[in-house]
This record gives sequence, C-alpha cells and structure tokens, in this order.
Amino acid sequence: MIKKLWSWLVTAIKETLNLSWTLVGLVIATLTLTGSAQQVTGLATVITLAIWLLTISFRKE
Amino acid sequence: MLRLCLALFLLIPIPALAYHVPTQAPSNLTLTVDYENGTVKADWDASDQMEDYPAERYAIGFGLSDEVSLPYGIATGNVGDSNALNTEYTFTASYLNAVFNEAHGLFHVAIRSDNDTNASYSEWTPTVSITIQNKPASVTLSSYDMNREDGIKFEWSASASGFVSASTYKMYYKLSNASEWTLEGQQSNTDYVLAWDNLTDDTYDFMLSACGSENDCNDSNTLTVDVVTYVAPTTTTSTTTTTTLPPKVEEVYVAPPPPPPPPTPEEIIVDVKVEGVDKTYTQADVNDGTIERDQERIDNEKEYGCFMTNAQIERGDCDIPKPIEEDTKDDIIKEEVVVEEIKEDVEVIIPKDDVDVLDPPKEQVIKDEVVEFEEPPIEFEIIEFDLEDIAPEIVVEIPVQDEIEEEIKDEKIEEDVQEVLDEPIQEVVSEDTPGTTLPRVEDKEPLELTEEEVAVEVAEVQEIVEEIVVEEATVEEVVEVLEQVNDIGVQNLDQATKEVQQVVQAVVEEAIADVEELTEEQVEVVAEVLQVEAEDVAIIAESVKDDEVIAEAVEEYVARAVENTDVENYTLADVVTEISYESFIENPIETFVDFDGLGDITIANIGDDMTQDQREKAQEVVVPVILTRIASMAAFIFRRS
Repeated sequence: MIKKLWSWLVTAIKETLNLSWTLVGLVIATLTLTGSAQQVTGLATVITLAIWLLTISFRKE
Repeated sequence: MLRLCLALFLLIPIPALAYHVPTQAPSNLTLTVDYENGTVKADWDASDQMEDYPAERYAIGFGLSDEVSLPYGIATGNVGDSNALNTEYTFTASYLNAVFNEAHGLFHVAIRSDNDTNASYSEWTPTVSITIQNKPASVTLSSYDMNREDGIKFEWSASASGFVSASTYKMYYKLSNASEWTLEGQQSNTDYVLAWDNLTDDTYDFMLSACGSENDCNDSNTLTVDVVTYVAPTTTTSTTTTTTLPPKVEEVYVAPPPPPPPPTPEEIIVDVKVEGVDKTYTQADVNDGTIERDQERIDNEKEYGCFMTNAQIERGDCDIPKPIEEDTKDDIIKEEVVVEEIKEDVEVIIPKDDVDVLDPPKEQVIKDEVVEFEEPPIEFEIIEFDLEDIAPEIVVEIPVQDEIEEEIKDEKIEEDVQEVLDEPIQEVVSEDTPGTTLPRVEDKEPLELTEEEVAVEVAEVQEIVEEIVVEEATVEEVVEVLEQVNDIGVQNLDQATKEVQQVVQAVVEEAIADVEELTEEQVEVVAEVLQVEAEDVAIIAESVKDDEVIAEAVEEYVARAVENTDVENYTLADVVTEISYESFIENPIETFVDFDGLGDITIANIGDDMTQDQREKAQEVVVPVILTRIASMAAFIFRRS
C-alpha cells in the first residue's frame, strides 16, 4: 500500500512538474486578479490540479 | 525512507501554520504624571527585535478627552535619529496647552512600532489613560518672620512650573503633636500673615496648599517652627500690649515715624463735555497738554477716522486714503461708476492737507461746556461742520478725473483685457476639451515639472498637511490636500518628509472611507491620486471593506508609490499585485483556498468587483501566458503527430 502510494506520489510530482509553466501562469493570474475573479481562478486551479493528479492512471490507460 | 520523510518534514516550512508578525508592537506602556514639573512621561518596552522588520522608531498617538480617542500623533524621531528608538516620551504642559488649549483632563496614549524602510507598521498598543488633575506644582515653605506685631509672616515663591498656575494658596497649621490641620487663610498672594491670636508659644507645623482653579491642591512641605509670640515693647504707642513683659524681650520697640503724607492730589478739576461725553481733567492734565492732545484726537477722529494726535497723523500712523487723483488711476471701469464712487467716498478722499476746506484749526474748537475753573480757564470749542456740505466743492474740483478716465478707457483696459485673453482662457479651453464626464487619468497629459517646480509644489503640500488634522478633517480639506498632491503626482512625494507622506496616506484612506460623501468632481480627484478611473473609486471603497489585500493596498499606496518613483504608470493595481504576491509568499495555501463569500459569486458578476485598471493589468500578464501555453501545446501535438 505504501509502495503504491509512493509510486503515485512520484508520478504526481512528475505530472505537476510537467504543468510547471501552466501553473506559473495560473498563479500569476490569481495574484493579478482581485475579488471574485481571484477566488474563482484560485479555486478552479486547485480543483483542476487535484482532478488532474487523481486521474493520472485513468488518463494513461 | 522514514528518515527522509522526517528530514523533509523538518526542512519544508509550513507557512500556513506559521505565526508571522512583520513588526511587533511595543509592550508595557505606562504613563506617569509629574505635577512638580508639569509633565506626563510615557514609557514602554521595545519588542524582542526578532521580527522581520523591527521598529526603526515609534509613533505615539495621544488625546485629551473624556472618551478614549487618539486624534494626535507624534514620533520619537526620524529613522536613524539618535532618539528614534527611545522607549519613553515626555509630554510637557506647554506642549499640551499648545495642542489642546488646556493641560488637564483624561489623557490617552498608545504606541506603535514603525519600520518605514519596509513600510511595515505594528498594531497600536492598548490605549493607556491617566487623569491629569488641574493641580499646580507644590510650593516650598521655608521663610517666615516672627518679629512682627501682627503675626507670623510666611513668604514663598509662586507655583508656576506645573500643569497650571496656582490660583489660591491655603495656609494650614497645627500643633506639632496634634493630628488635625486647621485651615487659616485662603488667598492668591505669595505671602501670608498668620495672626498671633491663633498661636501660643509652642511648636507648630505649618503647611501651604497650592490650588488650581478647580480646587485641586498640591501640598507643600511641612515647616516646623518653635513659635514665640510677639510681645510688644514698652512704648506709649501700643494700646494692646499685655500687662506682663517676658524677660527675654530686652529691646524697646520704637514705632517708626509715620511716613509723610502723600501730596494731596490737585483738586482743580476741569469738566469738559465733548460731543455729549463728560471728561474730567486735573490741573496737571492742563499743564502737560493732555487736554490739547485729547482735543486733537477728537478732531482727527472726525476728520480722518483715527483717534490720534496731530503728531501721530503727521508721522503717518493713520491710514488716510490717498488723494483722489491717485485712487482713480486704478479705477478703470466706467465714467458713471467712478463719479458715483467719488461721491460716496467724499468723506474719505479729502486730502488731509486741504487746509482751506477741511482742516479745522485748533483755535477754532468751540467750547461746549466749561469748566468750573479758577486758574487760567481753558475754553473748549467744538466746531461742528458737515462734510457733505463741503463735498460738492471737492467733486467739482476734480474734473481731471474725466480725462484720466478717458485715457484709461483707451489704453489700460485694453491692455488688461488683452492679458486676460492671453492667459487663462486658453487654459480653460484646453481643460474643457475632453468633454467626458469621468475622464481617464491616463488620458491627461503627463506631468512635466522641473525639480524646482516639484520642490515648490511639495512645499505647498507640506504647508497644507501641517495644518490638517486627518481625523477631524472635512471632506473639503481632504480633497484640497489630494488636489495639491495631484499637482505634483503621488510619486513625487519622495521629496517630502515621511510625516507628510503619512498624512497624505491617511488623507487618501479618509477619502476612500468617505467616498459616499464626495461629489463627482471630488471623486475624480481621489481617482487621480490612485491612478484609476473615477468609477473605480466606488469599487475600491467597497472592496476595502471585505478584501484584506485591497485594504492593505490602499493603506500602503502612497508609501509604495513613493518607493517606486522611477516606475512609469504605477497605480493602485500594481500595489494590489505586490501585496498579493507578498501574501502568497507568506501563506501560499491561504491565497488559493480563500473561499469566503464564494456563495455570492455568480457567473454574471465575476470580475465586477475589479477595477478597470486591475483588469487591464491582469490581461497584460495572463493573456501572454495563456497564449504561450497554447502555442507550446500546439507545438507538442504537432511534434507527436
């Protein structure tokens, strides 16, 4: 179980690194925006990243 | 693996859980009132200096009122000054009097740590209050004189070094072995004679209370005296001496010869009635010319409106209007108007040296009522003349004015009109041209001021700022300050002192807080300071209430604008972005997981609470990033295919 979790963690880090430039853009966007736009962008970024990482295996099949 | 996880756990900071205070507030603030010197000392402890931006100086808020308020502020010094980090400050009575017009009441103080270099300021300490009583400094009782017939005399120096001067002094005395004091004497002099009737030959304690106008008193030292009551010598002058003489009184009291009686005042009285007012003079007044001078004053008051002697008039002390020939050179209106003014002002424009017409010789002063007077009688006369009777002659005598007026009509008016047309009208036209109700700040021409002009404008800002008390400022005063700031641009305030920048900052915050009270023009002024559009001011004012980042941005706008003097088009949006970034660095998770008020957001209103300037700044950054990402993805897909 731990080994499987560790494997997923490594893969998630790799995927996140692949998204580095996208994340930089989204972080900058979030920091540049204010109010509701900032909240929506931040929330969307977090949720999308979570979904992206949780569906790694699904997308690789 | 376990060790690796432990190492990562220890090494990776957890900003979300960290307690972070950039600048800590001072602590243990205490106030001490010193009535002897008229001072209030505020003393506090500095922080442990372990924060990111330790204090460079301390701001001291203070107030004197029944309710806790701190409308005034002062600093321990400027950054780098030797006394900037002092942890005590002494308010003097003279300073409090200058600020509050009084130096007693409930006095409030709070302290804040300031790090101006990084524009980081701590919270204010809890306000500490102390009552300053309306109590003068105590006096020292040391001098007394028992060798008197009437009693023991005490003398002391007036109490003037405290918060207030003593208005009354109360003398207390008691037998040294007694416990209760007896009040005897309450007066404002700085000496007092306690009558022998109150005393016997014994040891007494004496004390003096210096009291303020509200009867708050400060007691002196206790003076212990072995009282030996005065016994009058065996003289024939005394009628109240006791029948037995104490053996120790050996010298014979001889009453001093009475002083010669003062010369009796001259009894010769002159009653003069001038214009219905009785005036009384003595012979001395007659001899030294007082009556003549008074008469001159009366005459000159009638003639020139100045209650002065002839000598004063000749010296030029009286502001007598210039002759009409000179005045009319400036009056360049219309002929009829000038003539009317001349008629109205006839009384004023009569030359004082116009002897033939106006100057009533002193000899002609008519006696109104004289005098019960035996020695050379002086007769007073009052010449009553009506200036209006004389005025027509004067008007007739100045036909020259018509010629002057004609010349003025031909020449000067045209010149003046020409000047008027040359200058301001052109400015007005250029200002009116945009035609929009709420012009964008960026649309206006950039300020191009020389260093000298900026220095002058900064001096004007400083002058206004020194006069303003932000908490009590009216909307008009706030807008006046902002207009001055707009004249030079916020970023040019780097030439002003930190105090001025802070006041301007406070004025900006005040304007944002009171935005609902501002007129459209005043909103434009605020918008120009913040470098945003006029309609964005309301959005900012609303956002400040629930968005900490924007609230902080408004609070720090002036300071950051000054720091970024060299950055072109530096606006509030830039400050917001900077603070967002700093907030993200401090606490990245919270920045992305701040979902307060998320339920109020709908698809339709997303972004409505952003200023136009903020949107443009975001577009400038986000759009290139997205386009770059799309391009890279396209290149990747193209390469795989």
